[in-house]
This record gives sequence, structure tokens and C-alpha cells, in this order.
Amino acid sequence: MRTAVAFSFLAVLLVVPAAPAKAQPVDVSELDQNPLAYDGQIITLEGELIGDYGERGDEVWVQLNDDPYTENPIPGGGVPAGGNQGIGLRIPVDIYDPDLWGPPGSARYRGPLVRVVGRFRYHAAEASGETFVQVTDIELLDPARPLPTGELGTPGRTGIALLVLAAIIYAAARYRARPPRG
Amino acid sequence: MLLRPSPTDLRLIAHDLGRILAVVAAAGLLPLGWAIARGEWAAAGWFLLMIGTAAVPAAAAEFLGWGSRRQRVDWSHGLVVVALTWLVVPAVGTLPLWLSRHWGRWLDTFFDAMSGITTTGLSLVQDLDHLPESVNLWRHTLQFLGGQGIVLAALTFFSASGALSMYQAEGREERIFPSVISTARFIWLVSVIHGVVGVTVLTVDGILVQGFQPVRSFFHAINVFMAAFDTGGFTPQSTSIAYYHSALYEGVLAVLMVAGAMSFGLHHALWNRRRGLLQNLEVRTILTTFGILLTTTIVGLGISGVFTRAPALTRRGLFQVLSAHTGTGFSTVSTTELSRWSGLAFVGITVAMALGGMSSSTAGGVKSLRIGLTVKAMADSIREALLPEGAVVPDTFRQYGTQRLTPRMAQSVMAVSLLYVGLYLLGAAVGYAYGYPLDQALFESVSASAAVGLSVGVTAPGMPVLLELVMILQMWIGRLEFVAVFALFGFLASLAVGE
Repeated sequence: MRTAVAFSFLAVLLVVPAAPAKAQPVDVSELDQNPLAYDGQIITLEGELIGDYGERGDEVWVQLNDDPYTENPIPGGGVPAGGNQGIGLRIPVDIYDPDLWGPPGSARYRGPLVRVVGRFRYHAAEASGETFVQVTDIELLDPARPLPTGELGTPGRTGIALLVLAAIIYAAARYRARPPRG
Repeated sequence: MLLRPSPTDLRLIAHDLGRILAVVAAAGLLPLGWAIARGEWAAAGWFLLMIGTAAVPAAAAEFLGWGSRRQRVDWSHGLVVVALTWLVVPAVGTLPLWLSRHWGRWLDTFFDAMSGITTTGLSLVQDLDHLPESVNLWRHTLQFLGGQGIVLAALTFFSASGALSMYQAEGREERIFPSVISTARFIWLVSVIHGVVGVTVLTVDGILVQGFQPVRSFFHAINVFMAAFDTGGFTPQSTSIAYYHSALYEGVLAVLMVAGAMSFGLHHALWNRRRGLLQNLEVRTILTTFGILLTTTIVGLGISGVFTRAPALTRRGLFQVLSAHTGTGFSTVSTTELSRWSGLAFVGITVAMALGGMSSSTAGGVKSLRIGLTVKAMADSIREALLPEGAVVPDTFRQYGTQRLTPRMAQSVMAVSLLYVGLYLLGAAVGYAYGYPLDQALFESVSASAAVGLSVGVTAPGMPVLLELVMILQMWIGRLEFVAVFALFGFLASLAVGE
């Protein structure tokens, strides 16, 4: 028993230093403010995948936003709370699963909410000076969900009425401007 | 003694404004069509409302303007129409923006519409990344209309007396053809050809290189084309051009920005393969200032340590100086990062914004021809002082042929240049008074007045109302290059106290 405990302790001692450095949870604002402090570090980010999935060969580029709209975008009833805050992600295709995640965020969808682990790269020389997170792991927190696109509503109906009115006025103008007979 | 404008004067102005609103209504069909195609029904309703709102006064002006069409539109009418156009169009254009609820207050939507129509590119939009595509397209369409010159658009479709005054009041000095209408049509031809080529290249790049879906790639392409060629600076996504993570995309946009900042006279000369263009004063001036400012910025960035790697420094520095000098306002770095560009880099970008592009282009700022003429006038004066009495200093310069720099021309050029400096200082003083650091206040003021759109963070939702109003004023006056605005003030004064 004593030998087993000793071996276990030794195993822990050997494994702990070899374990990867714990990913630091940060937000995009912090990365933007102190990029050099995080350059090359393993970080964890949470947020909404937004815009487009840029499928480029064996990797996918997509933007991750972690602003106040990730939970409640304005088209979904959210209120204006400042600008967006986002950073590019570079995701290997083997962990890219758009069927599970759903479409990236837009006016029609609240994009998938994810937690990503990856290495922050600031003006990376090997990527023509791009700033991004090289993702190594991605966890889906909440898949994309559709947002209401609304209906024509009162503005639309009022607009149609105004267009009819404009057409009548214009026709009257043309009628008035016609050359006199004879 | 001021003469009070007659009812006929007012009818003529209303008639022309009505025709310009008809152009706005027609332009609204583009985002309306997009909204319907993409199933954005609420947005389709907003655009119907805007189109109807523009169409009713347009039709009414046609009705009321009956009988006044044969009246001659004089120079002052043209100037007043242009100055009013650039207030009325953004006011109508705010409707879909306001109804989308992506702006905090109505003034913010007017700020963005003015920023769009003046091709500035500063924005107070919130949650841009969830904005309906059709509303996003409308923001960019406003930039296209403004860059082309909305009055120019009206002139293309409706022949009008007073065309020359309206054409020049929009900040264009040169006529490529004897007829303004022909010149307007040439400008549209150049733009359409650039549009077809630019949108095609960007769409193909988006699909094949960026891996976007075809519809989305086309959406990005048409928006950024309008913003690049008309040196506007709006982008469909919140991270501006950094969103694309592509040097190739940036390269295509750089070509479009340069094309947009070139005078249409130069386009015409290039199309006709005229030689000796490098001897033109304006071409030489802009190449010189670009070279100096690019070097200044890159050296500044190197010293400041913001960039630790040469390729990134060169790529970002080159794109930002080009964006600033052409008055576009695209950015490949974040607002926070741009605000860290201090020292020589700050000077390089700010001066590039202040100088602007070429005359009779879609760019704003003092413009290279004025800079070149100012330098020549000053150099001539110094040479006259140094040379023996009676020595003759040639007062000619090359600009599509040999031209004379008359004292009157020199005075006019220097006066406008000084007015721009005054406009830059006005906004900087107001920003500084509100507690912003002087360098940031100056940067943002120059960006607004010279219709650039780069920001270090002063332009943000919730900014002070007075500062916002001043920046709207700067965008309006800066885009119209003062004269039309002064004419409108004179017109209003004569309306109030004239006899």
C-alpha cells in the first residue's frame, strides 16, 4: 500500500510539470488593450461566432464577439449598449462543425456561443502580420438560434400609401404640364 | 442691401430639391430589393416608408414647380440647392437607420447619414454585426451617392439649367467635357466600369480565397467597393477591413481607394493615354506628400515599438497611410491600437488625412492641387525676393497643359486652405474642451472635416451632443468646400432681412 502511494505521488510529481500551462480566461477588450502581454499565450475566450465562416483549405477563419450583444442582439430585442468587440479565430477544420453550431451571427441569427482555447498571436510574422487566436479546442455552449426578421408592419403600409399618393400627385403634375390642345 | 428671394426663386429651389429626392427614392430601391430577396421584411417596410417619404415631396415639387422650368437657375440657386441637398438627403436617409433601433438617438442616425453622404465613414452604429444586411447596404449606398455627388446623379438624369453651379458647388472644379451633363455621364461611366471590375474581383476573391458563401461574398464586395471607390470608409462588419484577414483583399481595396482619390480628369487622361501626366502639379504633389508621409509613419511606428515585426509594420503602415491620404478611412487595426500610434506615426496619419486626395475626386481634405499651388505661390514669392529686381519668375504650372497661377487664383487657393485649417482647429477645440486629449481631439476633428473616417475613439455612442453637432457641421462644410454653405447662409440672411 505504502509503495502504491509513493508511486502515485511520484507519478503526480512527474505529470504536473509536463501538463500544459493553464489557459488564461480573458476578454477581447483585454487583448486589445494589452496585446503584447498575451502574445503567444494560451488563452480562453467565450463569445459568439459572427459574420462568415471563411473556409480556407485546412482552416476556417471566423470572428468571435464578446460584447453585450452575444446573449441578446438588437434584432432579438436587445438594447443599444455600445459598439461590437471582436477578434479573428483560426480554427482547424478537424474541430470545425458548422452543422452542429449553426450559422454565424447576423441580423437573422444569434450566432453560436462558444468557449475557445487557443494561442493568441499578435501581428504574427508567419501570417503576414495578422492578429488572431489560433484555436486548439472549441466547446459549443449554445448553438445558433434564429432572430425575428419582422414583417412589413406599419412603416411598410404607410410607405405604400405614400407611394400611391406620390403617383397621384405626379400624374396630376403631368396632366397640368400637358401642352394645350389646338 | 440684401434682396429678398422671390417666390419664383423658392419654387425653383424646391423643384430641384424635389428631383434630388426622386434620386434618393430611386436609390432606396436597391436596399429594398435586397431586403425582399433576403427575407428582411421589417427592413423592407422601413425602406418603403423612406421611398414614399422621398417620393411625395418629389412629386409635389414637380407639381408646384410647373411653370417655373423655363426660368433660369442662376449661380446662387445652384449653390443653395447643393447646400440644402446635403442636409435634406441625410435627413430622409435616416429613416431606415432610426427604425432599425441600432442607433441610440435620432441625432446619431443623422450623424451616420451625414457621414455616409459626405463619404466620411465615422459611425455611431451599435451592434453593427447584427444589423440587417439591407440597412448595411443603405449605409454604403449613401456613401456611393455622396461620393459620386448626389446632385451629379440628378444632373445625369435630368438636364437642368444652373448645372455648372451645382456641379462645382459639390466640390468639383474641372469639367472634362464642355458640357457638364457629358462630364457627369463620363464620371458615371468611370464609376460603373470600376464597379463591375471591382465587385467581380472582390466577389471571386471572397469565394475562392476567403471561403465565403457566394451571396455573402457578393454582399461584402458591393459594400466595400462603394466604400473604397467613393473613399467612404464604412464597412459591413465592426472590425473594418481587419475582418477579412487578407493581404490580397487589402491590395484590391488599395487599388480602388487610389482610383477613387484620383481626379476624374486624370481618369480621362489615362483612358486617352495622354503622356506627361507625371509632370502635372497635382500628381507630383500627391506622390511627394504620400512618399513623405508614408516614410514618416513607418519610421514613427518603428520607433514607437507598436509593431515588433517589419512585415506587419509595413503592411499596416502602408494601408493606413493610403486610407488616410485618399480620405477613405478603412482600418486594418483596431481603434485602440490606432490610438497608440503616437509621435511621428500620429503626425504622418493626421497630416495625410488633412491633405486629402485630388481635386474633382471623391476624396475630401484640402486636396493636392491646392497644396501644390500654395507651395508654388510661396516658393515664387521667395524666389522673387531673392532674385535681382526686374527678374521674371515664371508663374506657370502644368495641369493638363500649361496654366498661369494668377494672384487671384493663389489668394483663393490659400483662403480655402486656411479655412480648412480653421475647420480642423474648431473641432479640436470643442473636443479638447470636453476633456479629450488634444491629440485625439485633433485627430478626430481632421478625420471628420476631411471626410476620412479613421477614429481613435472620440466618435462613440454617447459622445457629447454639442461635439456631435460640430462634427456633423464639419463633415457638411468640409465636403462642400465652404462656398455652397456660405451661399446658403447668405440666402437665409436675405430671406430673413432682405427687402
